[in-house]
Parts: sequence; structure tokens; C-alpha cells
Amino acid sequence: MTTKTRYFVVGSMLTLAIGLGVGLVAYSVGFSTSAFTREGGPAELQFVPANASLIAYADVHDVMASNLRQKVRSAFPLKEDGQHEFQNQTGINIETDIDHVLVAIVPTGEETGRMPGSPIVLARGQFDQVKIEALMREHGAQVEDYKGARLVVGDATDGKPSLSLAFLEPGLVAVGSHALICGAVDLKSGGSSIAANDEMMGLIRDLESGHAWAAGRFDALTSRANLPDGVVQQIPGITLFSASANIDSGIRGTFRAESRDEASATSLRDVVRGFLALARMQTSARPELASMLESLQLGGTGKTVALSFDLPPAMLDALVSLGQHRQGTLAPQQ
Amino acid sequence: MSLIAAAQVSKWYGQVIGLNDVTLSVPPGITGLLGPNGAGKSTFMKLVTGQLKPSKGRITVLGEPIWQNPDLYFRIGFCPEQDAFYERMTGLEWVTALVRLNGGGETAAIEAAKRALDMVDLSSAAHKKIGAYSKGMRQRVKMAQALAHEPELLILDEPLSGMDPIARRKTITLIREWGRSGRSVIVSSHILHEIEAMTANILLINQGRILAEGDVHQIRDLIDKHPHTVHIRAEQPRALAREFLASDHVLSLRFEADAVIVQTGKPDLFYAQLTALAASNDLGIIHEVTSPDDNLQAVFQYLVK
Amino acid sequence: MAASPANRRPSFVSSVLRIFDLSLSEMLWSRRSVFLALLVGGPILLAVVSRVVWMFGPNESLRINGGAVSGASIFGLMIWLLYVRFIVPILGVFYGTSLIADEVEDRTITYLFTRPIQRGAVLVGKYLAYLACTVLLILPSVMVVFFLMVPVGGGSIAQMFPSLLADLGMLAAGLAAYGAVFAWVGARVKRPLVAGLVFVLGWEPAVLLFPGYLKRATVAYYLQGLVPHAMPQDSTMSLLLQTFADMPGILPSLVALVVLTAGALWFAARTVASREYVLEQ
Repeated sequence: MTTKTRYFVVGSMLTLAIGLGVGLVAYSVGFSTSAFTREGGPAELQFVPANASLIAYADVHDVMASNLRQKVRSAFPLKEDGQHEFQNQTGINIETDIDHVLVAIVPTGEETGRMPGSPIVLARGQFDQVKIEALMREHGAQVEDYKGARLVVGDATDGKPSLSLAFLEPGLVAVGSHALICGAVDLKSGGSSIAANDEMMGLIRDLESGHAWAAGRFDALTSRANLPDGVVQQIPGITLFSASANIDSGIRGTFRAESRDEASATSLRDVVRGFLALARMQTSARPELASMLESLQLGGTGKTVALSFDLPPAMLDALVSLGQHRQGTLAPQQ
Repeated sequence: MSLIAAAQVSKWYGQVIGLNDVTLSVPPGITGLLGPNGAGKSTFMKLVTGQLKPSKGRITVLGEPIWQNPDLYFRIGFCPEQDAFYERMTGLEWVTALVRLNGGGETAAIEAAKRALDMVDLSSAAHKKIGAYSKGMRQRVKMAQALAHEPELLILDEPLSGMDPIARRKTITLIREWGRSGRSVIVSSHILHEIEAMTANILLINQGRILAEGDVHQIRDLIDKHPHTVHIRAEQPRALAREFLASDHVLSLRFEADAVIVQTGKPDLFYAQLTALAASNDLGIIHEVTSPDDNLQAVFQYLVK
Repeated sequence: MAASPANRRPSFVSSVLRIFDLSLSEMLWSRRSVFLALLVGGPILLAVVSRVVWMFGPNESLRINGGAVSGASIFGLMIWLLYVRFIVPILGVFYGTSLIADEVEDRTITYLFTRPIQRGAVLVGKYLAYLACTVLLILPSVMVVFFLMVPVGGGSIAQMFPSLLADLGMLAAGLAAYGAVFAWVGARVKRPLVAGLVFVLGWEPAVLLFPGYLKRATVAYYLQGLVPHAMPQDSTMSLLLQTFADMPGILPSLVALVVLTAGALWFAARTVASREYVLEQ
């Protein structure tokens, strides 16, 4: 073996050894991924408790301004009375004043109905703080101070928990249960927010640049979904899920599920693949639907199952005109 | 015991015959294999070194069959004809690596390689890459790998090709010394004087057949058993030809300007008749009598024709 | 004159190691290495570009067709599309078929076949040199790609580390199996490179598309059973592959690859031992 070859062998083995060493250390001590990554997700996440089971986000401004929204609006003109009334009462123009909204569901142990926890809504935009507070007070809300923050606490009626509101920052309003709003105020000065939850943040980092997305623990959904036992048993062990969509002239989206193990992921892929095959067979005679199904792509690696879709503008136009046609044929019967 | 024994050995490459029904016995010492290009020398060398298997017949080297008998390579060193090397290695690295294939440790292999390179006068270039060697140096490093493990039998295929006159003389001396030390060498060449300088014991090969084997004198005797050509420049070549045609020992005749070329099966009788005719002067003056068979080179050309 | 350096034939293992030692440098610094470097450098370059785009780009994660894709997913895709389906089989073909063919073409085989070692040891030694050469290039490249890609979009190195180990093992097994099969092809067939390329680019993809037992006559079938990442849906062919995918388990795949490697090597060694190599003059 020549000297040059010896150097190569040593260099190569050193690279392998260092890589394996670093990986092994990371694996054994559960090395935080944040050492290698940038912070992800919208800033409002700092007000969401670490144990949130579901987080959803919508970039309202972009969606409202999207071509798709303009098309739908012109195809199906809505009565704007309700929107005007809401604007008059709150000072909020839904079309222009809300930048984005983040909703989190947080298990509190006091869940009722089908909701897997209490929600907290964080909306960023241009809000008339005085007008909103006045409106709530008209409906019996009380204003209180919590650690220097001004909380508007709604009146608890019919056994439902009271709804509270607080402006956590200029242009950022939080609405939710009293406990959650207080919690959000607490988190403002530090504490364990969802940003410290690697599992959820891992999902969110993948998705947060979509116009609308949701991520969460799948059991949190199914436990309150009152699904039949038969159906629940058929769903392979999904632990986490996420979904995101990009909306412009068309819609592109991805649904992603993290399963308990690779076998479950394989099983889930098989189920989805079966559904896709069945759907493709069923829609073979309907080109407008068939092309939509063609855009569905199954993928994912390891324990991840991903289903992505892409509805191009032409396809959406076809669907819109189909809707218009149906509306037209139904109109005389109304 | 013969060094190499071949019994009715034939080798075909598909439809082409490389060696045709060869039976021979090579004695210990230095033996030269003479033949023109394409005569079957390389085929013979490859059979003798176990690279090829005889299509027919049996070949033994140092008393053992050579095909699929790697143990025998302890006793054999082979210097192939082809100019092929691991060009990126230095001479010392290459010879050492090959010697290591014979077993033994790294240090012993390096020592053996250095010794061999010294024997072929390449010590000064031992650390140069083979790719930078001249043709002669490449021949010598090839020799070095063959003799580094000090084999009983050295098989050299065209070893002097490309060497300069000084290296050629040194190599010839090396081979002769190797033979004098009690070990054997088989060396192939298509140039007779190279072989003559090394040994008197030769094998003549052509068109896949061994035409002759033995020393120079035996070869000369053999010549007499073959048609012998005589070139006669004379005043009346056609008159001479008429006389020769009447004799049994003349096999063929042809004319060239003022000469007749005769092929005879009995040179002694022919020369006697020719002397008588010249002495009688009845058929004009005979200017010149020559024979292409007047030295070993001519014998070789004659036999391989 | 000094005594002969050795008078005892080296054992088979010792012969193999000596041939390995002789061949590794030759193989590593050969013209073919440029091709190897390109193959290995491609994924690294891709990973570097992805990493730079992610670090300085406007998005928090990489996007493919508008959808956010994690670095771990891209790493999985690279393992499938670049390494399993392309680099490993192609390297197996180019190096495996040339183990003996190169020596024959360069006419250096004579030096190896006129030494007191078994011809089988020459093949096995050269095969090990191929394996070392490719493994020592491919595995570090995968390692580099892993560390560049996985953190993109927040992937966890700790979480993905077991799958990296599986990837490294799987790729080494693939290189071993393909190399052995093509060493045999190289020892047996007159135009081994053509035969090898037909096998990996024609036969394997074609047979894997259809249900049935034919796919068991491929290396890819068993190798894919070891890939820890889900098969990507990158093309219509992949869709078909997934539709008819009947992946063998890890243990059967491993056993099959070991048997395949050992069997092919044994046959290759036998072929080399009994075959005459007529060198072009």
C-alpha cells in the first residue's frame, strides 16, 4: 500500500469514525436538534403552552389576497351584510386587517364535548383595542389586571367557561379561557412554551411556511372524535400528524402522519395506496376528478407517511365552473 | 531428468493452431527458443508457465504438470514479453509486492527486491515510478521480478528487446552466470545472435512446430537432412541445369539472370558433381557458388522458411 | 547468492491480503476513480447546495413543488434515488466486472498468475480491494450528506442516527453483493460491462415492476428490503414499484445477500481458476 493510499484510508476511516461518534453521542444523550437548526414557526408560538396537542395556523392576509380567493369570490358572491356588521362592531375588516391567526388546543383535563382541550386563538393584525374592549364590556365582560397585562374576562354563562381576551403585544390579540390567557401572559416573561417541544416543533418547522397548516397529536383528535371502534382499530398507530396548504391560483398541500413504528407506517401507506387505487378506478370516467386524483402523491420515509396534492388553477377553474353549474341547476328549485 | 517435457502437445485458439503436436525434452542449463514472430514461441512459453492449458498432450515442468499447480511457481521465475506494469508504482514497490506473493515477510521481500534490482543494475532507479522508466529499464525491472525469488528455472520471453547495447551485454552475462550457478534458463528470441551469445543449445520453432532441437552442431547436421539450396552464377546456367536434371539428388531448379538456383536433398553428392563439372570446363565458366546455409542465421532462416 | 526469500506457499488468506495490498492503490488511483469521485461528489454537492439554500433562503424549510420537505426526507430520497438505485449498482458493475478484466486488458495478469498463490485468491483479494475502495468512499460521503441534510428543517440527528447506521450497513451490503455478482460476470462473460449494465439498468428495474418470483433473481430486491426509508414516489415507475412492492424482511434480505455474495464469489473464483486468459499481443 502506498503512502498516498494509507493517507486516504486513514482519512476516510477518520471521517466515518467522527461521524459515527457524533451520531452516537447525539443518540445516547438525545442531543437537541436546535444546535443544528434555526428557530422555526411563527413568533406567536411563544404564547402557546408546551403541552398543546394541536396547533393550526392560517395566513389570513395572503389567503384573502390570493387569486383563488378572488376567483371564488367572483364566482360565488357572498352577502356582505354580516361582514359589515362585524366590522362595525369590532372595527375589524376580515379581508384586510388580520395578518394571521394561530389556534392551539391545550388539554386542561376539563374538556367537554368533542373538543380535545381548550382552545387559545392568537391573531395578529390591526385591531381597534378600545372598540373591541367596549364591545365585550357591553356583553358583561370585566377588565382585570394580570401581571401588568389588561385582561378582558367574559361572563361565564350556561356553565360554559368564561372567554378572556388580552392584547399581549401591540397588534396581537389572544382569546381563550381565562387560564390559558393568563398562561400566555406568563409565557411572555419566560417559561416552557411549545417552542421547547421538539416533537411538535419538528412538525411545525416542516410546515410553517404554508399559508395554512395544522399539526398535532393524532390521539388528541381521535379520542374526542367519537369514531366507531371498528374505524379506530383500522387506523394504523398514528402518533402525530400535520397538514399544510399553499394557496395562490391553485392549492398545493401535504398531509403528513407520523406513525408509532415503521410497520404501522407501511401499513398506513398500504391503506392509503388502496384507497387511491380504488378512487382512481372509480373516477376513471371523470377526467376532472381523475386529474385531481393523479395529483395525489403518496410518499414519506421511515415512520412518516406523506400524501401531497396539487390542484393547479385550471383544475380549480373546472371545479368552480362545475359548482356554478350545480348552483344554476338548483336555483329554480329553491 | 529433463527440465521440460512435452508429449504431443497441441494448442488451438479456436480454429487457429498455436502449437502443433510438439514432443520435446529440454535439458537443464540454458536453452534458447528461436523462431520468427507468430511461430508459437509465446504459446510455448505460456504453456510452460501454466498460463495456458494444452488442448492436447501433456506438459511437465521440473517433473510436475504446471497447469493449476501454483506450488511450482516457487521454482520458476517468469519474465513475460509484454511491456505491462503497474505504472504508478516505483520499481522497488512493484518487485517487492510481487515477491511478497511468494510468501515471506515484508522485510525479506524488500531485501530480495533490492538484491534483484541491483542484479539488473537498477538500484539507482529503484525509487522512481515505473511509468518514468525507459524501455530498457522496463525490461530490466521485469527481469528483476522474475529472478528476485531465486528460482530454479528462469523463463525469459524476449528479455533483450529494447535494451541498449550495454544493458544487453550485462543481461546476457547475467543469464550465463545464472546458468553457470547450476540453475536453468529458457530464453526466447527471434534474433539468433542473442541466443548464440547465451547458449549453444537451441530449439527452433516455426508455425507451431519444433523444427529442430539440440546444439548448434546438431542443428547443422539436421540441415543436411533438409533440402539444401545452392546459388550458382555461371556462363551457361541453362547447360548446367540440363546436367543437374539428369541427377537424382537434385530436387528443383530455377533461373535468375545469369544464375541457376538448385535445391538438393544430398548436398555432398551435389557439391561433388559440381566440382567435377567446374573442373571439366565443358559447360563454360562457373563464376560463383554460394549457399544461404553458411551460418547459423541462415540455418534458422532456412528451417523456418 | 542469498537464500530464497520464502519457500512456503502463503495461505489462501495471506495470499488474499497480499493481493489486496497490491491492488488497493492501483484501484484507488486508477482512471476509474475520477468516475467514482463524480458519483460520490454529486450527492455531497447536492447536500451542500441544499444546506446553503436553507441557511440563506427565505423559507424555514426546503420546498419541493411548493411543499415543505424536511432534510431527513430528502436524505431518505437521496439514499433511494442516488445510492440504492444508481451509485451502488453502477459502481458494482464498473468495478466488479473489471477486477480481472482490467488486469487482462493491461496484460499484468501474468505477474499474478505466475506466483505460488491460488488464482481464486487473486480474485478475492482484488474483490476486497474493490470493496475497501468503494466503501471507504461511499460511506463517508453518506455520512457527510447525512450531517448536511438531516438538520435542514429541524430534523433530529439523534432520532435519525439508527437509520444512518442501517443505511451504512445496507450500502456496504449492496456494494458487496453487486461487486461479487459482477466479479463473477467479469470472470465468465466476454463483454462483462455490457452484460452488467443490461442487468442493472434493464433487467432489475424491469423485473421489479411486476409481481412474481422473477424479482428474486435480482440483487435490488433484497437490497431494497434493507432500506430504512420508505420508497419514494418520484415517478410512474416508482408508483408501479410500490404497487407491486413485496419487500422481503430484513433477515431474509440479509441472508439472501450473504448467500448471493458468497456464492457469486465462489463461482467467480472457480471460473478464474479454470479459465485460460489469452492476452492480446
